[in-house]
Amino acid sequence: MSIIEKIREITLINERELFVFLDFIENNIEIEQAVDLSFSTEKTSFYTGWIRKKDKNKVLSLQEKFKNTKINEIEPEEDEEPPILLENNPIFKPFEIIINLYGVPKYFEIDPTPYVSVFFALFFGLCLTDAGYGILFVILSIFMFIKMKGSKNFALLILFMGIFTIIAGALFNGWFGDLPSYLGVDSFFSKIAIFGDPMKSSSGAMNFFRLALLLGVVQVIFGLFIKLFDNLKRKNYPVALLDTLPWLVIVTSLIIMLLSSETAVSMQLVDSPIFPAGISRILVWLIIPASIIIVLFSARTQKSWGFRIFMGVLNLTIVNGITSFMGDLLSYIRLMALGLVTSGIGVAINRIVFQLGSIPVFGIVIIIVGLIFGHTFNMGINILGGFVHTLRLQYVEFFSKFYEGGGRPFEELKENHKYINLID
Amino acid sequence: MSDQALGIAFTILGAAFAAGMAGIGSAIGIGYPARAAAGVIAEDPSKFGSLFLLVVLPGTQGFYGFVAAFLIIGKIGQVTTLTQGIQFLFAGLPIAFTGLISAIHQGKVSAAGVGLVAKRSKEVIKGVILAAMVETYAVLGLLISFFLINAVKLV
Repeated sequence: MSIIEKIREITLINERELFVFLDFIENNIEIEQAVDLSFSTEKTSFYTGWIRKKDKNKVLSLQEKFKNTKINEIEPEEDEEPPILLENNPIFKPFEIIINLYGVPKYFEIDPTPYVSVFFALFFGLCLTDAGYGILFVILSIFMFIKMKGSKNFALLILFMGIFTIIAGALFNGWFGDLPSYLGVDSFFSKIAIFGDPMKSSSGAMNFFRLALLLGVVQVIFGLFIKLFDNLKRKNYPVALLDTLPWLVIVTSLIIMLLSSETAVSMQLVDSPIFPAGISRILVWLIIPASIIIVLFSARTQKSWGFRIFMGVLNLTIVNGITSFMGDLLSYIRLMALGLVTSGIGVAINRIVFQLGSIPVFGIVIIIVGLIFGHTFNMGINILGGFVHTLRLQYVEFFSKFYEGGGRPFEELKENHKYINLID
Repeated sequence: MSDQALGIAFTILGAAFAAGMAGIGSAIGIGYPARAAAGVIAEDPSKFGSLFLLVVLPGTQGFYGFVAAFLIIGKIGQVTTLTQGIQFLFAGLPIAFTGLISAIHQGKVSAAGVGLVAKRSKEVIKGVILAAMVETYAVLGLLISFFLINAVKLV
């Protein structure tokens, strides 16, 4: 027996112990690395680090346990940036991953987790728009709650996404594509679908289109509101009153003006103007001063007035101006497109499978196997697309309104177990 | 040949363009990151999971084309004139072209993302987001095709 075979044999017998040991070693390495950051002489060593305020007493109590230690508080220096640890209540906690992927906020910046969470789950639901898939999500999350130990955050995230997918699917009549119509129970499901079926009726498609745009308007304006209130709270009045408020006024007024005009009707955005046509004449008097503020003050760091106004005009129009707001709003139509792709492929799978299924005897087998494979596949590619595009809407369209990020994440010195689960 | 037969032929051509060109784009687009990923996997097989995300991303255009083609196929039975057939052909073009070209470019961005994963595998989602930026225009193409297909007047 060669030595390698011997090692392999011993490894196999003691696999369990080895993995536990590996976990232990890896945790020790992390502690060693932290120790390496200290300054030490032969007899003393000196550590610095950040702790959360609420852990202060816990850390100070260590002094009593270890008589030869002394703990001092150090005030942060002027330009020192404290590291960031997000803290949200358990409902929003799963969505912190979205923020961590983008970059945690700066120390005095707002934590957007609660705001992102609802939009994220809702948009993801609309990208799938299939209640059948949503039910599978919910079942999967329940399964994960029962089976998985440790963090439940991921299971919770899937649960929320599943619930919104069910709602969106039910409203737009998506149940594994159009499966109910093959089973002869579609009259019941189409009664729930108050928005209509976007694949089968153009009113359903238009409703989806309008809903996607409406959500875009809501999220963009909401983002501006966050920026306004956040800056007011931080007493950052120039940004709040000169950069944010005018845009809030302009964007809201322009949307109201559009919805009060016949143009909106001919674009099929609304069936009849929502606001009286006379409202435009009032709103113009809001838009003009707001535009003047932007032209005069948006480039207020520039020294020469000529260049300042030139930049102001650009800011109003093409650089982060009206055109970019328009682009942001139109970008939300992707929600509709992705919803359509899910139902389109779902409908195609059903038709192909049921056509093949007309063969006697084997037909039923083909139908069952085909439906399982087809819909698993459809769900897979659309989860990918839905997730990516939902993230993009948060990062590009929503965050650009109020959020910068780029803080330093708080790296906790804690036990991190890869192969074992501690149950207390 | 009757007007109707010609119309049907053009409708089929429209569906064929939508599915075919978007499919070609996806096939080429997947080719770039897949080749790059194979090299990274040779170094570190455990990265397969996150690389897979980047590799399949340019595949979506093919499905956009497929959905548009499927919608057009659903209308074949109702085509009665040559004009309607040509209209369906044109309606299929937005997704055909945006799908073809955006998938190829998305593939290139994804391949760059594979390079990102090779060095920093935790940042995979950022690579995916960058690639998704390109896809936006295929999504818009599909939407326009969808509206155009629905806008064709059938008697």
